[in-house]
Amino acid sequence: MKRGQIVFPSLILAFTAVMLSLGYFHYQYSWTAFAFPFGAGLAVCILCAVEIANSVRGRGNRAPRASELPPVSLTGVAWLFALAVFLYAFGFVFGAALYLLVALRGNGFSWRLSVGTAVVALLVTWGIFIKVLGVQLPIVPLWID
Amino acid sequence: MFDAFLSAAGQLLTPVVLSAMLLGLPLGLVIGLLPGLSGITAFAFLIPFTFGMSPLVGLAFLLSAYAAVSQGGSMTAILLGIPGEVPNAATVIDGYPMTKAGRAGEAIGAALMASALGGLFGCVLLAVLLPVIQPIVLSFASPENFFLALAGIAFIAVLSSEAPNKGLIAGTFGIFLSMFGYSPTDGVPRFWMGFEYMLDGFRLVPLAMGLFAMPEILDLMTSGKSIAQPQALEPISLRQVVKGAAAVFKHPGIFFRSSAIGSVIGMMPGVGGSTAPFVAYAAAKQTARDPDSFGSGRIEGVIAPEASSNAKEGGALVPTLALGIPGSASMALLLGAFIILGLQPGPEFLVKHMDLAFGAAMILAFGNVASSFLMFLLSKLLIFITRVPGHALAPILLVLVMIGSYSAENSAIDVLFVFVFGGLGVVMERFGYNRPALLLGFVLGETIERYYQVSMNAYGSYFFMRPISIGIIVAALLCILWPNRKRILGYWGYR
Repeated sequence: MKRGQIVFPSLILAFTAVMLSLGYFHYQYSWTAFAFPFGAGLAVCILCAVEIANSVRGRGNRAPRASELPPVSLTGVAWLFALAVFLYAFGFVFGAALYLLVALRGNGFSWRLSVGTAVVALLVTWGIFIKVLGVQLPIVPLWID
Repeated sequence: MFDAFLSAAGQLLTPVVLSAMLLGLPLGLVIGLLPGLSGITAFAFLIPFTFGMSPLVGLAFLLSAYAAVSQGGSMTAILLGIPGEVPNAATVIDGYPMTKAGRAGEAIGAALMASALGGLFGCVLLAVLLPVIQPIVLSFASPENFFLALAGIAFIAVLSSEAPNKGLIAGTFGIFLSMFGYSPTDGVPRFWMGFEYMLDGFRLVPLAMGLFAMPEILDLMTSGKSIAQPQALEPISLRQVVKGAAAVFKHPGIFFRSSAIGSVIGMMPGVGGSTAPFVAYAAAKQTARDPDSFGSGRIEGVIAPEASSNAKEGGALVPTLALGIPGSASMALLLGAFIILGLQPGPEFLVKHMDLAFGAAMILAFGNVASSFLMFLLSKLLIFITRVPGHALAPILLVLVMIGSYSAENSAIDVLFVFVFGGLGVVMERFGYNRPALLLGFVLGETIERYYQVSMNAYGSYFFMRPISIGIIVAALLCILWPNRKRILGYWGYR
C-alpha cells in the first residue's frame, strides 16, 4: 500500500510536469494562454511532492475506504474491458446485447436469464436510444467505419 | 401582478396543460434514470415535439420533464453510486454508503422530500423575484462570477477535510484537466497532442461516469455481491422511505441553507448550476458537529445536495426569463424552445407575458412535487435493484453507462475516456483521493480562467475592488472560517 501511495502522486506529478514542459518548450504558448494551466499545474506538482515526501516519511493519510474494498481481481477488470472489445467488434446495439449474454452466462447465470437480458438490451438500445431518443448509436461494427 | 398570478394558475388547471405535464414527467424520469443523460438530452429530445403547441402547453411539457430528470439522476446516485447527472455526484458521497448499509429507503425518502421541497423553494423564489430581479442579476458581471467560482473552489478544502493534501491534489488536478483544449479567451488549443478530439479538451460526462460509475461497477464485478449486503440491519421498506422523508423536517437549517445556496448559484448566469450541490454539501459538512462522519452515510449529506440541486432549477430560470441570458447549457436550449414557441425571453417578456412567467414557475414546482411522488411510488421497485447479485448487475450497468456516455456527444472516443477516467477513479478511490473534489475543480476551472481574463480586460487589475466582489469574498471567507472560529481563536490565544 505504501508503494502505491507514492506511485500514484508520482504519476500525477510526472503527467503534469510533462504537459507543462510540452506547453512551454514545444508549443511555446503565449503567457495569456499558459498562465492558468501553469499555475494549476505548478500547484499540482508542489502538492504531489509534499504527498510523496509525507508518504516516504510515513506521515501520509491512510485511504479511509481502502480496507473495506475487495482487492481488484484481474477477472473483474477483464470483464469490464471485454465490453470495449464487443462494442468495437459488433457495434453498440448487437455488441451490448452479445456482451450481456456472454457476461451473464460466463458468471453462471441461467440461459433463460442471459438470453432474456440480452433481448431486453437489444430492445432498449434499438427502441429507446435509437428510435425514441434519436441517438445515433453505431449499429455496424466500429472497425467497418 | 396578482391578476397575472391568478391567470397563470387558472390556465394551468386546463386539461390540455395538465396532460402535457403528465406526459413530460415519465419521459423526464426515464431520461434521468439513464446514466449520462441530462436535462440537455431531455430538452434536445423533447423540443421537436413542441412544434405547433401553444406556448403554455409547450412549456408544461418541457419544464415538467426537466424537473423529473434530476429526480431520476438522484435515484441512480443513491442506489448504484452512479450519478445520473453531474450535480448528482454530490449525492453519491453519503447516499451510496447509506444504500450499502441497507438504508437505501431512508436515503431515497430524504432525497425525494428534499428535492420536492427544494424545487418548491426555488420556484417560490423565482415567482417572488421575477418582477424585481433585473437590476440584481445585471449587477453581477464577470468579476463577481469569477469570485463566485473561486468561492466554489474554496469548498474543495471542506469536501476533503479528512485528507486535505490529497483533496487539494484532486481539486487542482481537476482544474488542470479542465484547461486542456481551446483557451477560453484567445482560442489557443492547449495540450491537444495533434489529437482532434482534444481540441475541445476533456469532456465532463466521461469524466463523471469514469470517476464514479467505473469503480462501483468494478467492485460489483469483483465481489459478485449485491449492493445492499444481506447482513444489512433493517429490511428495505416503505417505512424507511417515510422515515427518510421525515428527516428533512428534522434538519430545517440544512434544508433552507442548501435551497438558498442552490437558488442563488442557479441564478448567476455562467457560474454553472453543477457547483451548487457540492457547495451545499460542503456547507452542511462544515457546519456539522462531527464533520468527519460525512461520507459514511449521513442523511444530511443527502438532504443538502438534493435540496440545492432542485432549488437551482428555479433560480436558473430567473436570468433566462427576465434577461434572456441562459444560466446553463440546458437553459440555452430552453431559450431556443421559447423562441420556437413564439416567445422572446427578456425584460420585455416580463412586461408582456408575466402570466407565462408565473406559469413556468408553477409548472416547475408541480414537476418537482409530482416527480418526487412518482419516484416514491416506484421506490420499492427500484430498491430491489440493490439486491441483484453484483455479477448480474455490473454488466448491465456497464452497458448503460457506456451507451449513456456515447449518447452525450455521439462520440465513441468518449467511451474510451470512460475507461481511462475509470482507471483514475479506481486508483483514487483505493488511495483515498477525493473524487468529488476533482469533479468540482474540473467544473469550475475553465469558468475561473474565463472570467478572470474577461475581468482583467474589461476592468483592469483592480476588478476585485467592486463592492459585490468584496461582499462575495467576505461571505466565502466567513462561510469557511466561522465554523472553525474556536480553533482559530484558540490558536491566536495560544500564540
